[in-house]
Amino acid sequence: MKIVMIVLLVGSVLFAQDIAIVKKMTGEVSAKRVDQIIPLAIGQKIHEGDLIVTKNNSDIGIIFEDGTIVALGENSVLSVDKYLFKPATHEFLVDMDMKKGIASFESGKIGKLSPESVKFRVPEGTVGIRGTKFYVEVK
Amino acid sequence: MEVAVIATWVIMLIASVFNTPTTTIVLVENGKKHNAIVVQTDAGSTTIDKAGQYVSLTSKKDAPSSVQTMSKESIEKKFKVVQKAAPLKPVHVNLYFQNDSNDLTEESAGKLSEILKLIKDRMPCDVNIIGHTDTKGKASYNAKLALERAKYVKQWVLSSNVDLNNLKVKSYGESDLLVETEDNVSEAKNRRVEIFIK
Repeated sequence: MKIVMIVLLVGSVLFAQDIAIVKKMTGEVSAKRVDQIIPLAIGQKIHEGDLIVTKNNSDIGIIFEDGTIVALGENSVLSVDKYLFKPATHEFLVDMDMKKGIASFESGKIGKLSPESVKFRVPEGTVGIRGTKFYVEVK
Repeated sequence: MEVAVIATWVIMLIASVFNTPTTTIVLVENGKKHNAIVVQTDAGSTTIDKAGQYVSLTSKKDAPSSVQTMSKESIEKKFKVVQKAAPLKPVHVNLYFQNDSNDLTEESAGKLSEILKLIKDRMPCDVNIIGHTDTKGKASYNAKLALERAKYVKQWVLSSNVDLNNLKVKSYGESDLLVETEDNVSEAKNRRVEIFIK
């Protein structure tokens, strides 16, 4: 039984998809991944399901596969619940949950190809992208 | 040099949990025409489509506040932290090739140093190299030609000893045209390799 569990765990780690990379970071930032707390560093990968936590005087900037950019300031918590970027089969999904703190979000290819697939949640509601045909020019 | 930024919108957000949760969501200028977001709670939704506009949220049961405007100075002051934390935007560069060949055009061949700078500014950097052709000739032949082109660009980038985090090479053959044409049409703009630097 134990062996099976280990195999399952190792398997899930091996098949976990790298969905983003840490491009910039200061201070202490960690990712809660399954049951582990992983200290993050520049160049490290973010996985689907990671809960990213920044401490005092800490911040992080990450870029997802499709070019979506997320930056978090200090004392922030962001859960990357779902992420799917498969242009070949037109499968897209961005679902993040900002639990506290300060953040910037800049959409990438998914925001352009499938704006309705982008959901950025906050404690009181959600932020989504509006359909292109309704957009107006921003000066 | 063709550098296209693919982002369509930017938001910044404060979700601070004090006694009453209050979230502020600001739409930020990103140099693009299409920049709009919808902020929604259980009680209603509000669209923001001009940079500098913001709404506040107090609870799930209350609709978003009316749309207000924040000055550039206030945005910069309030969101300085995340502006500093955000990495440079990924860039797309197109390199063009001579007809039925994996030789770069003279103009594109002069761009290596610019490309290396874009990469170095973004270290640790992921680079995707995607080969394309025009529709002249058979699709199967073009799939191979596009791959040859992409591989050539890969070697070209690697020859300068940059330490890339990740490098991927793909061929789209004649399936992803920059300029739409009928089949069997020679079109210089479609004979290209797209480099996505992020």
